[in-house]
Amino acid sequence: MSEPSSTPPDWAEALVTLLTPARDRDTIAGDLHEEYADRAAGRGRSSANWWYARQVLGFVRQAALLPGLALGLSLCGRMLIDVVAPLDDLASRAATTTYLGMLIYTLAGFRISYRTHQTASAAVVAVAATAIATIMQLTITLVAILAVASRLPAGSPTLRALQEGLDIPVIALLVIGGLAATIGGASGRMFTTRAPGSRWSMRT
Amino acid sequence: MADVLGVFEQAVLVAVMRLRGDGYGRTIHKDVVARLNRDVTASAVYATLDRLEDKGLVASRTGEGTPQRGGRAKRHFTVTAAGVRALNATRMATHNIWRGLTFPLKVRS
Repeated sequence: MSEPSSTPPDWAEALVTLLTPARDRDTIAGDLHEEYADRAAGRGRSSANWWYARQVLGFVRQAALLPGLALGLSLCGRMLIDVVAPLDDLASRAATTTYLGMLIYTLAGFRISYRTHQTASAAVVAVAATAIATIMQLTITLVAILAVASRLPAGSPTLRALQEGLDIPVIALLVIGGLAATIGGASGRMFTTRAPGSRWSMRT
Repeated sequence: MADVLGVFEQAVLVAVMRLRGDGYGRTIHKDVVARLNRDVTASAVYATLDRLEDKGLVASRTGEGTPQRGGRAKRHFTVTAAGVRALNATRMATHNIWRGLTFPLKVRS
C-alpha cells in the first residue's frame, strides 16, 4: 500500500469514483492515484492536491456542463420572456419552467447513472448543474441590468422583471432538481450496455 | 474512406501509437499535455479514448495493479488497423490542405 501522505484526499477520490464510467472506475482512479503520488513526492502535497482538484473539476464539468447550460438557458429564456411580455399572472410560465427544469434534471440523472451505474452520481450532477445555471443566469442578468439601468426609469416593468431575475430559487432548484435527478438516476442505473455499440438492455 | 480526426483525437491517437501498446491513461495524458503544450484534464483524455474505442480506432486490455496505484489495474491501449488508416488519412488531408503554401505563413503588412 502507498504511504498515507501519497494518497489523494478521500473526498476527491470519492467524487472521481462517482463520476467515472463503471467499467473504467478502477483504472482511472489508479492512474490519478499514481500521478498524485509522484507529484506529492516531487513537488509537495499541496501541489498534488491542487492538481487532483483540477482533475476532479474536469470530471464534474464533463458530467454537468450540458445539463447546466440547458437549465441556465431555460431560466434565462423565462426571464427574457418576462421582460419582453410581462404578465400579471405568471403561474403558467412558472409551471412550464418548473416542468422543463425537472425534465432536464431527470435526463441528466439518467445519463450519468447509466454510465456510472450509481444513483448518487445523479445528485452530484444535479448540484453542479444548478451551480452552472445559477452563475449563468446571475451573469446574464447583471450584464442586462447594467446595460439598460441608465436608460430606464426606476420601477419600470422591464427593470423590475430583470431584477426579479436575480432572485434565483437555488434551494428549490436543489431540492426539486436533486429529487428529479435521483429518479432519473435510479432509472439510468437499471440500464446498461453489453459492449460498445451494442443495443440498450435491462440490467440484471 | 477512413475517418479524418480532429486535433485532440489526433493527439491522443498519436500518443497511443507512440507508446507502442504500453500506453495507459496516465502516460497517454502526459504525452498529450507535452505535445499540445497546454493544460489538458485527464477527463478529456479518457472521454476521447472512449470515443476512439467506440469508433474501433483503439483497442484496450486490462493489465495488473501495482502498489503505487493503490492496487488498481491499468488499462493499456493499442492502435487498431482502422486507427492507423485514420491517422494516415488525417495526415494526408492536412498535407493536401497545406500544399502550395510555405510554412510559417508571413503576415502581409
